[in-house]
Amino acid sequence: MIEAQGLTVSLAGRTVLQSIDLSISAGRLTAIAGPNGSGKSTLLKTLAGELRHTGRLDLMGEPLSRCQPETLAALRGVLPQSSEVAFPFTVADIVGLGLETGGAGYRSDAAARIGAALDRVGLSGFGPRNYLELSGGEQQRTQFARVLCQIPKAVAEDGTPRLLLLDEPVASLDIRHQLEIMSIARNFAEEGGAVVAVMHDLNLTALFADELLLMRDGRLVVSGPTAAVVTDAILEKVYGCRLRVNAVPPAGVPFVLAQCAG
Amino acid sequence: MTLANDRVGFDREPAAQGNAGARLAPLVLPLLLGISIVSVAFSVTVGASDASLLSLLKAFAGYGMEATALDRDRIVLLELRLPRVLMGFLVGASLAVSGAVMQGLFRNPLADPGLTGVSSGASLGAVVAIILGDRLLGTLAPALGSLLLPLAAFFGGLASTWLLYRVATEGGRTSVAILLLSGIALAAVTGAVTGFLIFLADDRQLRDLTFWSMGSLAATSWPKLAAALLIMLPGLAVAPFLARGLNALALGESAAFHMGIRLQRLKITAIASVAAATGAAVALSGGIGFVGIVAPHLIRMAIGPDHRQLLPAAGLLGGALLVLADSAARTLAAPAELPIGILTAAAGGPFFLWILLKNRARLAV
Ligand SMILES: Nc1ncnc2c1ncn2[C@@H]1O[C@H](COP(=O)(O)OP(=O)(O)O)[C@@H](O)[C@H]1O
Ligand SMILES: [Mg+2]
Repeated sequence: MIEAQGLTVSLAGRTVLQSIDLSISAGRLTAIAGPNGSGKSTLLKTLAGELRHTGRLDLMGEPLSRCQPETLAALRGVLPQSSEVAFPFTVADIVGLGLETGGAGYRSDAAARIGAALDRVGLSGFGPRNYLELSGGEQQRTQFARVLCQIPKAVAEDGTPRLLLLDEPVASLDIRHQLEIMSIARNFAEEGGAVVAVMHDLNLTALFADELLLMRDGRLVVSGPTAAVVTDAILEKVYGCRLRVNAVPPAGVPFVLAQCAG
Repeated sequence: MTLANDRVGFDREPAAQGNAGARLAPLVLPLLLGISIVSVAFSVTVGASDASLLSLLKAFAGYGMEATALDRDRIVLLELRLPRVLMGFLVGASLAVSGAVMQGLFRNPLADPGLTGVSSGASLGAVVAIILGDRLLGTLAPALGSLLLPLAAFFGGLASTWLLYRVATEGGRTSVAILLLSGIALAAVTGAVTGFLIFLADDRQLRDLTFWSMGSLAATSWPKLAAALLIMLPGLAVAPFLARGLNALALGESAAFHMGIRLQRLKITAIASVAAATGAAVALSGGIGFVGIVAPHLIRMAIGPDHRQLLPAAGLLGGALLVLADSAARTLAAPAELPIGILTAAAGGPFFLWILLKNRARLAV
């Protein structure tokens, strides 16, 4: 779905991403993790087509920089790390914005689609509420519902997979909603779409992600199947602190326990 | 994963409260259309001469009147009042739509063509055209005729809106302080250049300038109105096509791009639309303040910020407000006339202050 080679991005004269090679496949949930400021958000924005880059970056075999905004909008949805809404739109207004992308225009079933998306993120009945008066987690789920309206299916009718780019989708959510949102992302991947999610919680990552990319200082340190990447040595190298990886007995899912610094 | 299907046991979120605005929305446009028509009809009948709408209808029917009274009424109504009232409506609508578009573009409810200096820039264009038009354009100036003033105001508005956008926004964020302070700077520059140009002006130009800068709707005629419409209508006509882009832009430039908006095209079209509508309005009326901030704000309070309804509704409300203000200006001190700018400033100034106070938190940056 996405192929990058020697991907390099500079912002304000600083090299923020340095020669990154990666490959994102449809049907997989790929997580990106790493310390603050390691370039996760920048990488996601680059994959979204927002930033000028050097090196090769192809989406579905085509150079990303050549895709038009409306073409991209039909192929991929993006959940930003934070969003600032300038006017007191209702929740339904915000979610409905996702419906009009990709030249879809007015839909007679808009209200039903908005309602369904809100149901999926656990915000049933929030449609008429003022977005600016929601809690941080509710706002984040509203934005996620907007993305779901923009990319409603993991695979288009012609069989081409769709892509979700999620920057810390569960950062300000309670544990139940973390699981729900990750399950939606997981289902999207299982239905044949591609999901790239920036994650901080390594245990949640181990539970949901097929692949894990670990970043540090703008470089991709390691990538591979999550279980292979989540090891004591690799995590200590990336995060610079002592971490102990164990496995949950029944499924063999790794879990990470922080060790005291001393 | 089974977790997604495990939600049945969770209890629901508390029920959301209804929002009256969303339900009002479908009623507001027809309502405003009705108010607009009524205020235009009312305003045509109001003024120093007591020609009524009924007498106009009679005039058309040629019924029950002496020929002289009939002619006088027809002249008062058709040649003086009707163009003036229509112009008042169009100026109000242009300023309100420009205000709403600017607020969407700058992502800020305090943007307004008057306060941010776009009107100043347009005036500068008009002043330059009045005083230097002959010198700069030679024989082209008379050829352009009534079109010269709105055209020059359009280019002045274009330059100032573009400058303002470059100065006040950085990485998709607008600084309110810079937005409003640039307005002060642009107004100062306009004042200085106008003062300088007055030195260069001859008597006829000075008379033209004074006449124009009085900023009233009094000097309307059909040809002036027609010329201004050539600039104004394209500006107003593109506004509805900006609605979806401005809605998306409310979520920030990145999010708008993610949703397939061509940002560059949106910005350029918005700036051109504001320059055309404001420029033509300024050329006609010399710049009337606060309509661009009051009308969009009232509509947002009534039906919310969705630009698909906001832009046409603010246009209708701005038009109706200005027509009513003009009726008041013509009657409060009859047979004399108050400058309409005094009325809009008296009502709009405190309103602006109120919006400033409501947005105090945002301003403290
Ligand atoms: N617009 C920008 N201009 C300059 N530097 C930036 C910009 N955006 C991010 N950076 C820098 O790039 C690095 C990576 O940022 P980011 O991708 O946001 O990190 P994170 O991994 O926490 O998401 C940081 O050091 C940050 O300071
Ligand atoms: Mg980040």
